[in-house]
Amino acid sequence: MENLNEDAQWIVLMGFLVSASFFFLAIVLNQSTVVGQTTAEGVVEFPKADIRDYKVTVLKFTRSGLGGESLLDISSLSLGQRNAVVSSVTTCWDPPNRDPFDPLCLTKKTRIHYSNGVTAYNDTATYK
Amino acid sequence: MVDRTWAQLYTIEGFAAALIMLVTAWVVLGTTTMYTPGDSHISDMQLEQLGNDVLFMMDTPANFSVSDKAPLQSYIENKDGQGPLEFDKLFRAYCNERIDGPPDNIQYNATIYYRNRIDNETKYYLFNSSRNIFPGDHAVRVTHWVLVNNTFGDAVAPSNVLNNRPQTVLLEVFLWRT
Repeated sequence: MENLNEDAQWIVLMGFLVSASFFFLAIVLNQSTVVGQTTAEGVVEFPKADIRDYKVTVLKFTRSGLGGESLLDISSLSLGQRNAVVSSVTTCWDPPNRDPFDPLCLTKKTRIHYSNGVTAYNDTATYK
Repeated sequence: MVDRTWAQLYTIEGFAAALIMLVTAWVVLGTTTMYTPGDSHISDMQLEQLGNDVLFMMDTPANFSVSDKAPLQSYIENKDGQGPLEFDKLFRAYCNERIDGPPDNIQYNATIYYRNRIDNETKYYLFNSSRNIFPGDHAVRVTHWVLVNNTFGDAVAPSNVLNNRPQTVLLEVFLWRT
């Protein structure tokens, strides 16, 4: 039975191969809309404005030194109103081991952490 | 015996071909439609971006000098005086301006959330609103942290609403189109 007609068997085999590749292309087209939708949703869902707002505010009062208990304010308000956990740590980068609010500290480094349950974000800012 | 084997193979091929055609038809028809949770997220996102931009603009001082204050900060510190009125004017102007044509019709409702240091509670203060109603469908919420600095002796009311100390408050604005 194997050696009946080799040319015919080749043709049938190539036919299977072509139809399998057509199937693959059809499935790619079918899934493309769902992939596009979920990717776009992921981009829109990223809390860009919240993270930027928080980072700018932390840098603002860290640089001027006038914040009072702002870190506590932001932590509790953020958790209660924005459903996000935030924290930040400021250290002195240029002469290390100095108090960051000391006037002799030339460069400060602030690390911020933001997490709203879906997105977690960590960032470091070095500034004068 | 040879005839029956050929017939069986023929039948099985027929089944396989029918299944393949059905699956192909399903894949092709499934490509055309997709369930989405409503199309309002695009216009909501645009309104949210507008609100964030406006609040960011208002929180930027006009001149880059140490003593200059951002408009938003001075409006909030003046909450018992002209602050809410000035905020209303500037915020509405920024939101509703358009390049060509009549101005837009965006309404808002602004609240300030702050932390009471004595009992660590979060309290709120109704700042201003353009309509005296609660926002309905398709309202977006934008927030902004404002550093309110009371130690320079500016016009701040030491009322029992805002603690008289440098602190950060959360300004929350609901925006909607009528």
